[in-house]
Amino acid sequence: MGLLGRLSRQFFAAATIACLLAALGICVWWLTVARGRDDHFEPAASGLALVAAITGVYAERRAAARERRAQALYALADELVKNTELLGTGFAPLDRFAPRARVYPRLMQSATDAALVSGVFSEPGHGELVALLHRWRDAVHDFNRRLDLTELRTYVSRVPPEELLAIDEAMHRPGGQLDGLRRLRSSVEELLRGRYAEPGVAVRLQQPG
Amino acid sequence: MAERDQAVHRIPEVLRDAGWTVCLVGEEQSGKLAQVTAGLRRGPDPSGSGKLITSGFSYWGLESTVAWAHACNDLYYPVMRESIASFSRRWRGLSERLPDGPLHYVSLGPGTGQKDQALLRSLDSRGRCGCYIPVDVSAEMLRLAQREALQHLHVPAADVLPVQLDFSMPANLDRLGTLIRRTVGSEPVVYSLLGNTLANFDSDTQLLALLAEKLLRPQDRFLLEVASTAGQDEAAARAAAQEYENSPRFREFVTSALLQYTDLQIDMNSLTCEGLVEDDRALKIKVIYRNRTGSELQLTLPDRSTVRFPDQDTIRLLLSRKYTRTGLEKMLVDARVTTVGETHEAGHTAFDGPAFGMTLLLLAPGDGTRPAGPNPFD
Ligand SMILES: C[S@@+](CC[C@H](N)C(=O)[O-])C[C@H]1O[C@@H](n2cnc3c(N)ncnc32)[C@H](O)[C@@H]1O
Repeated sequence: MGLLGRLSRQFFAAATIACLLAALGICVWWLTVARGRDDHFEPAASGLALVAAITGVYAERRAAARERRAQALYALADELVKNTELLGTGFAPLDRFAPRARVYPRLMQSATDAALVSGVFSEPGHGELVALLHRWRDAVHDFNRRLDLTELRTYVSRVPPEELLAIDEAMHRPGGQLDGLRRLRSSVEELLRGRYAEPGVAVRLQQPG
Repeated sequence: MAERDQAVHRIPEVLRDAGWTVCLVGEEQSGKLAQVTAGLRRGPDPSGSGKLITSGFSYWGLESTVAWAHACNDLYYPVMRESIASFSRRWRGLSERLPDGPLHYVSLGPGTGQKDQALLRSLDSRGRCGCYIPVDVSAEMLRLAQREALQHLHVPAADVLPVQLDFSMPANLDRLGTLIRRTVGSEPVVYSLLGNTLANFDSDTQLLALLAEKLLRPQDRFLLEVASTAGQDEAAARAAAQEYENSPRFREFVTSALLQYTDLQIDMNSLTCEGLVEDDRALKIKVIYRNRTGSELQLTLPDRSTVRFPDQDTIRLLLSRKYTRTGLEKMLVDARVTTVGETHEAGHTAFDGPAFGMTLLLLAPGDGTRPAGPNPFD
């Protein structure tokens, strides 16, 4: 990568705005030094075009970013609601009197993945959310993989009931995997409700899981 | 022989007359008497570890039975009364965790039978009542319990089989196990040991282990009720002892055995309750009768022999405990049982006193060791 490649987006944004502002300054100066009536049109038109460019580029970019962020937040809120339901009732402990191998539901993470890779939270100020989403994503991934292993183990060979119960107990143990996930989920919810509770997000979070 | 068989076969018919009950007597009662005298013959010990009346004998006989029934209703002895009053509510929390289908119920030490009634009633209301087998050392207690337990229930008299025997003896348990299996086949049984009875035994863990080993099959469940404590310091031990000391009816009950087996002139002021801390597992309460006359007494025992009862010597009349959480858990592990369900009731203790309560546990057999296979969640 050359020097250009290493420069950040902020640098280019600043450079563009600086150039446009400089051009605008020149137009204003041009307006003051122009003599004839007709000579005023050109700097005025250029000046207006430059103002449009400055506000347009900046504001449109901001509005688009906000839009994408809102979409990402809606998707995150919807996913959170579904996961809340799963973590609430989807992992009921096995019946101790008739333990049987079962297929567990998987926790969802596509909205989290999308939110992370789309970069909508890459601007400063979203560091906490991004860090939390990464932790949540890793935990979900890890948990789902353990569920794969559990099903593989319990479906491929005949497993005695005590073993099924032992696996189930380990999963539900206080401070165990499920507990950890529930805690992380609550922190995500807390953050969404607190700092990102725009109307659309709040409505979605209110839906019963 | 044929004649006798027929007589036995006619019992169900006889039982239709409500005045009769059958009772299977599972051991020689004279042997029991020898056991009581042996306990009372032990050497002098002013600390309460010498002469004693072991658990079952505190309830053996009519006087003790009546005294116990009174103590259970004594307003000054709220532990037992509240434990009985709240039982059906606490039991409801656990009853969903029972195996499906008809259930047979074996009550070890039914006492006054009120708790058995609550349990049988809940089974009966779901049409799941099988046989009812109360087991007790005391024939009088069995009759009392049976009458109380079966009130207004639809259990046919022929499905009720009271057994008089001491369940703390391994050989008795072997025979009891065989009897129960012959009666119920492979259908599931719920056993119960309620009212903190387990705490009355010196070797409580061993007794629980023995009961689980000799009686429990994988399809069976065991309902255990024990008193519990949150605190385990000297003050808590004193408060626990106080609970027993306050009740006149309870005092009558504990001394009733002395009245039956000795010719002692009983002086209620010689009765003390001592609270001790038993490691981190329990608070231990010893109810002790101490010779405070200032001179040596002679005790005449049921076999007419006499025993020295020197000044300050003691007879331990009752042993009880309140278990700590760790103590209880360790006991369950050592007895090789696993908990299937649990309800805990905070007691009536004053807000500034130690927190005593009652824990009701539904247990299943299991050696508690973890299976060796890989566990993705370990
Ligand atoms: C503390 S009472 C419990 C009564 C009743 N289960 C309740 O919770 O209200 C103890 C009962 O167990 C019986 N018992 C005590 N030791 C016994 C033994 N070794 N063998 C048989 N029954 C015994 C007594 O006769 C008495 O009925």
